[in-house]
Amino acid sequence: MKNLFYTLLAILLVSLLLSSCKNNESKLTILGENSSNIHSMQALQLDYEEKSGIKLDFKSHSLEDAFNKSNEDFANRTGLYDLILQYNFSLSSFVRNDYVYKLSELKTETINNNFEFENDIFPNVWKEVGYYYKNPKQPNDKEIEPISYPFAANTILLVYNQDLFNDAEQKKNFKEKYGKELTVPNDLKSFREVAEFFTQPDKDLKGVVLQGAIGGWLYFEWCSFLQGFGGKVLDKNQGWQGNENTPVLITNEQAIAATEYYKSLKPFNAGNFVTTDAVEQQVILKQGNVAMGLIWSDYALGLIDKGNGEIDTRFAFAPTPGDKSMIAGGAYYINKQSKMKEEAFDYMVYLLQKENQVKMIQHGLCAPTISAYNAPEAQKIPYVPALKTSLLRAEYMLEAGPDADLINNVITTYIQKIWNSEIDVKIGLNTAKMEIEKERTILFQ
Amino acid sequence: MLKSLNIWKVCTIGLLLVALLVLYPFLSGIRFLGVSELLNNISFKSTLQTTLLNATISAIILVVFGFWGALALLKIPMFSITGKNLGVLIIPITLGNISIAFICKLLLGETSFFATIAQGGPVGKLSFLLLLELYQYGFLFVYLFWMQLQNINYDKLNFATATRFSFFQKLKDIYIPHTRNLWLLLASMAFVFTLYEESKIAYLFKVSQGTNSELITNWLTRTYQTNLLVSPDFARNLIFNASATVFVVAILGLILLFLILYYFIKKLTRLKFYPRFLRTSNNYIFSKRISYFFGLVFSLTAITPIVFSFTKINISFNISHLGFPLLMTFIATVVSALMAILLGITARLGWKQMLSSFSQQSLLFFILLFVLLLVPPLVLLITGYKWMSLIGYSSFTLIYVIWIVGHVLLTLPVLGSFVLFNHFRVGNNELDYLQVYKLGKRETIRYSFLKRFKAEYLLLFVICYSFVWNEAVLNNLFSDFIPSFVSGMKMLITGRGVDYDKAFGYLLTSFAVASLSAGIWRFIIERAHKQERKEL
Repeated sequence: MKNLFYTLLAILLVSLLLSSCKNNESKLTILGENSSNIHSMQALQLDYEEKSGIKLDFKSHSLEDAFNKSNEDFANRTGLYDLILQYNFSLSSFVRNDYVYKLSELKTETINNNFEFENDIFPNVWKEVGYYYKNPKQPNDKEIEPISYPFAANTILLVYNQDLFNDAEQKKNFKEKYGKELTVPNDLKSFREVAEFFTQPDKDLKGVVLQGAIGGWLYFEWCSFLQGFGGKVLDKNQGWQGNENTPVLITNEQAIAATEYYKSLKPFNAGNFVTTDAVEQQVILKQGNVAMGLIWSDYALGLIDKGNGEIDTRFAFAPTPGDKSMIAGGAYYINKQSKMKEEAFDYMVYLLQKENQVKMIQHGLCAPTISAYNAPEAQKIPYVPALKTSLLRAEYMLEAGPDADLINNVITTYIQKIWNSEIDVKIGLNTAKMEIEKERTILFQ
Repeated sequence: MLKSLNIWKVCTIGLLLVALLVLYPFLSGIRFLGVSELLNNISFKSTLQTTLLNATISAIILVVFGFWGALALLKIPMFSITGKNLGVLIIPITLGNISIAFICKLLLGETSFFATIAQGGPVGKLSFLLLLELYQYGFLFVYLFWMQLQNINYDKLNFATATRFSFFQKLKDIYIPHTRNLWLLLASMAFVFTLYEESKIAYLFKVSQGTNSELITNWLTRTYQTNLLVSPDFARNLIFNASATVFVVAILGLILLFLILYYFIKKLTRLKFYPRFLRTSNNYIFSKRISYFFGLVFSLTAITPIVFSFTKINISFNISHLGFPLLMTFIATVVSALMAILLGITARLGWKQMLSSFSQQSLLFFILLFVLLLVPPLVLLITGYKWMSLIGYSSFTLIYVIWIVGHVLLTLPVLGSFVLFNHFRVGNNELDYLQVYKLGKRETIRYSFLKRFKAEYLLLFVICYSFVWNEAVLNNLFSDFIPSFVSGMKMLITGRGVDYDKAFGYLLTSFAVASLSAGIWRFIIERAHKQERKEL
């Protein structure tokens, strides 16, 4: 017993000593969600480390953990992370709380003067995910400035099962039923027709798989349909804009029509809806008996990648029905507590160079630069053409102010109730509006 | 001796104070502003009510299941082949929340049964959660009750047989009184575990307000995330106030459950009522054949889901980076188990009368011991960040030491109370006897505790390893320095980086830890059996 105790003690001391040997080399610590975006950065890790002599230390976590860790690191000023990859809903909080360097501050301190890539960034995306008020304490819509560069430009895409769409019998039956050719839907009317058509219980087929889960999935998807109807959640032009007085628009004609349309898809929907997030949607789509889905662009690679280097050719992609797409994505943020701000900025600039963006897009990045999509290597990726078209026409649709998560939660709550017929569409939207108006006031104080 | 006993008290109080010190940022951050507003918040109030009700019902069902399951196994002797192999019943608890949720998703996620529950109301979801908890905790409870029932004095049992006790009489006069302390301990543990359940129900059913299926931990996490967009300080203040309310209600709930069970058992065992219809002999109710049948059923139920999950997925085995956390878990386990044993010994010696069994007098001590567990996990995470900002991340050695100390404190309530419960077997007469003969502290500890409870301490070590391995708060806090199994699994089964094949590779580690635990325990029993044969 004694020997065992001393052995254990020795193991403890030796392992602690070994692991505490600190390496003094320059190191950039990067925090982000475990996703194709960070994987694409890791794909260039060796190249960058060789060129710069700086070691890159990626800390990948789940979305929730990465969000909590970044916020706690900022708030406690522990400076654990130099570069943080966060989505657009964090922008407002990071700037208002003065946690991150602005581009203007970083540019003045770097010897790097090659910012040509800035002209290559999708302007609409950059403005939505990387700009903010010059003076957050006295916000003025005319006085805004770039805070950071986007690391990814995301949007929602329509994915469809080509095997079903190309099936001769299905084509024939569709023409007989609707008097027109079966094509990939480009408007909401034809989207519902196709969803209805492919709902064939005898063949165990469903028309669509919708994302009805909490965590933003339902809210994002509902917003996509709302956009198709020309509606908005709040009356403004950028996600990060607004104050406690910004009018809530979810009880207008467009919102009611969009919600009624959304609910009308219920008979054609596969899955459990309220448990269907992007992951569960992928699982259902891969089973091959659902015709369509609306998926986030940064989930597209996961859907078609078979894991053995092969691509699942059953799936093809198109812009969402309607003439607009929504903007999402995130930006690089340099921590004000970082001791490596110049290095972090140089690394950001390195990643945004065209040749690197082309390499990264092949590893799943939804690149924020336009030219990356034109590269022949990129064009071969099944979802890239649809993604480029979508990003070029993309507009603000999702909330990104301090009330973003509140709005997301309230809308999810009431749309779930509407979907489950616990509440009428109009009453549901009215209640949601009242709740948002009441609770968001506190968040702007 | 009186003086030396005070040392025990000081040691125990010292340990408890260190545990309470962890909560300083939380306690100092409570403002009690807006509590009335919070209590008028319909979603908070109804979620808290549902959670409390669910925890109370689950705790009672779990403990009743454990007791009746153990009665069903009563005729299986500890050292029979089946008895020795019943250790497989500890496997489910060693898997941890996230692994169980993932296995469930793999096995049932695409069935119409699961779809019906997922699309249905909160009662179905909570009932399903209870089934998972019966699997996760219930089998351990069965095993612990069964081990406890194996220790019933032979004379007592022979007397009962000779005087033709009915099953009801045995239950009332022998089985329940003999397991009374275990009932109270396990019910309290089950209450705390189910009260702060989060990951299983969130992962499986994506609980939400829209489906009225949130539990209080889900509510707190969601509210915290929402308010983080304003600022971490704003989010922290609101969540500390809400958590303080939850904390107080949790303490009251635990006390109430404890007292209800305490008086129920007291009243039942003092009952002088022996109805005619309950005079059936237990030989007819739980015969040897039935015991073995249940032994087989329970063992198969404990391991079948794990075996079947292998058929559902391709394994991508890339877990080399888990070697370091496995080693660190081992170190933390050794230290935590030692501290729990130390607490168990010092408390038993320090409060000889009060801690001789579970009673109203000892309730306060156990509530104090459980305080850390009664704090919502999110608060522990936030206070962890706060402490680290004060201590700093300057050296890896410091971080590792803090991680180990953190695990000691977090495991202390459960492990400490488990050790204390075992130490109830050290009678006051025995301690008085040692005192009269002026036996030193060392000898007292060696003969009355260390030698006697060797097997229990080793079981404690096994359970502790899985607790540390599957712990979600502290491991998450330090996951950038010591890779966390739970955070890694969560990352691979949710979100953009989802990869079920890799996640299954992770799960294999969990299986290995669970199997190893059961194997070690089997070895310990085998040795005990050999020892017993030698002594005979």
